[in-house]
Amino acid sequence: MNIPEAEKLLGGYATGTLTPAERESLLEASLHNQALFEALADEEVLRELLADPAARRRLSATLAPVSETLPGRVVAALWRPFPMAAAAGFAAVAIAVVLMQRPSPVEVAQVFAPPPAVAVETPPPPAVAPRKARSVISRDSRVLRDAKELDQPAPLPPPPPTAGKPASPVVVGALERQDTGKAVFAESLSKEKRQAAADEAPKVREEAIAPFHWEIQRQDGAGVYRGVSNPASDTTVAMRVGESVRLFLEARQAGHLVVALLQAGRPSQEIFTRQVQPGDRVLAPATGSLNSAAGERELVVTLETAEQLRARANSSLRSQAPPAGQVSRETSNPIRIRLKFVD
Amino acid sequence: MTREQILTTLRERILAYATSRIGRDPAEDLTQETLLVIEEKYSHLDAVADLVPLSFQILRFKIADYQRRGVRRGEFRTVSPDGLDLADGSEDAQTLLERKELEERLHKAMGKLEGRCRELFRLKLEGMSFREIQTELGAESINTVYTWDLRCRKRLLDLMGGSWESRR
Repeated sequence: MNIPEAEKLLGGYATGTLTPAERESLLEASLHNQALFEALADEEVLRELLADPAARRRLSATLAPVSETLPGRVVAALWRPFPMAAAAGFAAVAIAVVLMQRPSPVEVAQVFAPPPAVAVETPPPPAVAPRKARSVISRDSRVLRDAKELDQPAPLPPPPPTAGKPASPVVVGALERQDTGKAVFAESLSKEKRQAAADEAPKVREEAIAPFHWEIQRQDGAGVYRGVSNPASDTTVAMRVGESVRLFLEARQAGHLVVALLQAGRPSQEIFTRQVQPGDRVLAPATGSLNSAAGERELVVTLETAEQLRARANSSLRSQAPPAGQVSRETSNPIRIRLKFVD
Repeated sequence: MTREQILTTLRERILAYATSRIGRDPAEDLTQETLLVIEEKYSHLDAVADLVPLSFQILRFKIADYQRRGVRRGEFRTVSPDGLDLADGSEDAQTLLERKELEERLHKAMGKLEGRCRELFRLKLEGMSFREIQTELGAESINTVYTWDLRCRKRLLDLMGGSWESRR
């Protein structure tokens, strides 16, 4: 790749827009050209910022067309002939009603009975908070881009089974979605089942509600990443040497997400570690793809909530914390994904 | 290229870059430190696509550290490789502040973009590849998209005052 061609790819480096081949060509070219190397080095600060899903989402919102923001849609909806005429008509009627009203008699005193006591039942919060429709990082985000309504979450694939344990029927019902798109939660449960679920709340919900959705994505001939079948944890996924493969994750809980790469004969490497919120979408690696040389690799994914982190910090494990760069996190939800690259 | 060849070439690039930023003498030390970190903590990496971006991260950290401390010649404080854990994801307050500042400046500058540049950056932030952007924007060829991107990137940089970083 010559330098003018490489320079055209510069803008795609920090945003993660390049295909693995484009990225490799650009980086290789930079080794042989100082100006290009320095330009890429100067992009590093931007790349680091855009690797943060939350920052990326905020900046994307800045660029959203005005009509796609909620206030914009409201204004656009109102600024149309029919709603305007209806509003004018309503205003005229309201003015007429006010003018025609007789003055009411002056009241000196009035006695009201106290309102009856109302039992307020607050259902538990849903497991998945409503998300904005826009995707964060994933290139293969057609499903999300089609969901234009802000309050209408994009449809999610059914949650995968966690660690081989079948989901409790009590909580599975809680994950179904109504036509309105809102997650049905405790309202669908009988009082007894709700009590049983509450009694076992930490254990049952942790086991049955996967903290994140994940899938392995493979790049096709057109350069688009597509999800391959979502295998259960603890199985081996066969890939061909040289294939561009990455891991896609969507957090369903807030917490600290870590993706570690284990490879025989090499120290473990954390390829992603960051705080995430429900709905955050993550690619690991953030740019490019996993090493696809022949052999086996294992991705270990953990999502620790703040409570779990605190519990771990307070336990005796803290004094035996592994050196920085090594992965040894004992959590309740590690998912292990084995990839085997063959010729 | 072998790892050795890559690192040899990388050394020259890093040294020239650091020299242009902080002067020759501290640049020599910083270059050596950077290569030491790569050798000691990332000996398992041997691809250009891994080593070059890694060197950017390490070098940026070290230059920022040097500039913050205002180290005088001959009193350079070495940061041990153990103190530099890029994979940890934790950042110090200064880095977070600088990143927040960059985001605010980007937010203002992007707000001033119009038309195709605005749409192009939006699609990039949504994770589209150049090929997908070509389809989305109806460009005749992918080279057209590259050219648009180059111009729009320059436009955004101009709005940012010529640099992503607020001080050089």
